[in-house]
Amino acid sequence: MLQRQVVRKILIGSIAAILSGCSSMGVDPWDRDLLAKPEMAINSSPLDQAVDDHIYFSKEASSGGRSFAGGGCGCN
Amino acid sequence: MKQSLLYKLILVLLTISFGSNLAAETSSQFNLEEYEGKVVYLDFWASWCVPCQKSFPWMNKIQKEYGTDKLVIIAVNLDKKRLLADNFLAEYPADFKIFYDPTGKLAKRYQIKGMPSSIIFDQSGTPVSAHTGFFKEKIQLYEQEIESLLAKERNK
Amino acid sequence: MQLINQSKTDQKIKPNKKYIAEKLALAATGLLGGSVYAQETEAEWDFSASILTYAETDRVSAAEIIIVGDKDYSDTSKFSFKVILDSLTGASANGAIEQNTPQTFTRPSGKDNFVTNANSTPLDDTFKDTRGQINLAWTDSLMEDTRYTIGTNLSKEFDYHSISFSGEIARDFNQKNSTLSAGLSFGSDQYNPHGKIPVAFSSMVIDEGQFASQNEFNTAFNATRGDSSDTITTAELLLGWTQIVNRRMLMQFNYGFADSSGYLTDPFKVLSVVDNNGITQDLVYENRPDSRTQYTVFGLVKYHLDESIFDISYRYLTDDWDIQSHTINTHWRFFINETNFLEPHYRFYQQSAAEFYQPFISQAGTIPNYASADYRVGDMTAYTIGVKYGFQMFGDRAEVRLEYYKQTPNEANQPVGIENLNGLELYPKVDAIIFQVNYFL
Repeated sequence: MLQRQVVRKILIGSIAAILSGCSSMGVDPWDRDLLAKPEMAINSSPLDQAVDDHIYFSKEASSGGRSFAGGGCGCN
Repeated sequence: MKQSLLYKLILVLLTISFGSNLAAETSSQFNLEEYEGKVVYLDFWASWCVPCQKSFPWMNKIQKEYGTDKLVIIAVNLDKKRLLADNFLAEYPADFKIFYDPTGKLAKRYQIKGMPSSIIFDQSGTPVSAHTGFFKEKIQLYEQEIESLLAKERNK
Repeated sequence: MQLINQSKTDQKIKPNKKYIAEKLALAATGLLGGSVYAQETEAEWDFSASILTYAETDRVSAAEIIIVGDKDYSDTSKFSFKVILDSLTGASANGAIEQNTPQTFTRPSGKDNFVTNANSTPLDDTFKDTRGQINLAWTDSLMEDTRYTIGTNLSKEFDYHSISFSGEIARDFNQKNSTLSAGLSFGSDQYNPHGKIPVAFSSMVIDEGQFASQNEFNTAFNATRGDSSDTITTAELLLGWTQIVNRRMLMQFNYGFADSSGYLTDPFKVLSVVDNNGITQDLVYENRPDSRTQYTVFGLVKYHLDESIFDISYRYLTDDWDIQSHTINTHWRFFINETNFLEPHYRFYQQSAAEFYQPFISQAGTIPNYASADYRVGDMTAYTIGVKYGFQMFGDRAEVRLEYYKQTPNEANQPVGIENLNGLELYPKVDAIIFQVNYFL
């Protein structure tokens, strides 16, 4: 299917981007003051997320798609 | 006219030299040689680093246990705003030296790999071990490293 | 797709109230001769709770309560649970189209029927249901820079229950500036509808006085009923990459794959079979394929400005039912002071219809293999606009959220049917208000 090809291309493109440019992106460990804030976490509003997922799963035909690892203060 | 311009120029030059002195104070003020003969535990922390809430009470404990004539704990703060560090210290008081490094010069010099970080120097100023992170389960290890350096000195 | 969340509550600095309580406890132990050593205090539970009300105009209303708790067990491990209770009342469109005359429908149990007024969308209000759900998760470190989470989810309502297991592994690179994660989830659901599973495309038996006795009605009704229960199994894979761009900016990309198989039909939905004049001649139970494979790509950017945090995300979904959807979600949190914030929210959603979606069946044509008039698999555009306010209540963090959700069918994309139906509302709209209160202990 054409759409699957589009999705595959996005996937391959993303992996290529990770492998090529990303060792240069980022901050020093002591520069994570803003990223350490709970509001900057990927899942900063887990209660809202749970509510929204439930509502939109019941009212629409799409669900899911997101994960929650990474970011934060990078401590320990 | 020319006089006021000259005064302005002198003022600017003075400010630059004075300002750069202030900036230089952070890293140049830190001198390991001051602590020759003592074991130095150099800790890098920030108000937003949650494990530091556990490391401070422990550092208080060992500073008290060994006394400042044998062991010097220096905690380098990496907050960009002094107020954040002050708030943390109000909640988790420190009975050891605090050093302020808001621009991260010292952290860069010692190539800190994560937060928090600690480096243990022996009595001659040579770094003997470095730890990234603070783990309650590793406290025994940290204490053993300090103890073994102090024991070497005692047995001389 | 619902992999177990790794909430970042371990990044919170404990509020003053708890600190004072700890200190008092320590002082007390000191008096009793115990060791006065702050480090020895055991980690406590962090709780948060949410109450939600959801109300559609003239349709479904729901109330929900969520309680979340987590506790650190060691430097690296954490246990968390989530309990959800929700209650649904009101009526939902059953798939039949409206007519110029009142219509009678038999309830799914076969024991009763209801009447819909002329010129109004047929709504079935049989769904008064309460659901309970519990979610447990355990996170720990596997080795340096590597964490895993395992979790289970159980959900039960009157005629439906579901169990799933998930596992996720995450690894940091480049001084924790990059994180790659992979998650797998497996689920099994069972449907036990009251009145059994209807036979696909069988005609709804309606008692309009044509049956000599209740027994005769029952016989006719039971002929349209199949198994008493059926199952659905799901498998999901989610790959993620989170990247810190600079001191203010974070981004995430996810790729997801989900496969469901089993009874994916909605046993309560029907299609109207209409003649050339647009008059309903028959009502048949819908039928959907017994498998569905979905692919999603998701991207998120979060940016910390001076006094606010902005985020925007996009999700694209495509599946083998020919559904494609786009979701754009954005929030902007403005910090008013140390404890208060205001966060406007906007969500845009657009979906294209499943290939088997049709608003009705024409009597002149043949009954296809699969058909559903459920507006939820139709062409639609929806938007949500809302605002959240954060403040302090009794010294603890609290939030209130008010949102408006509007879903509109994309009528331009609908198949052109029978002329006489043009004056009638064939495609139900949804309008809802969401009000939620969150409290953090």
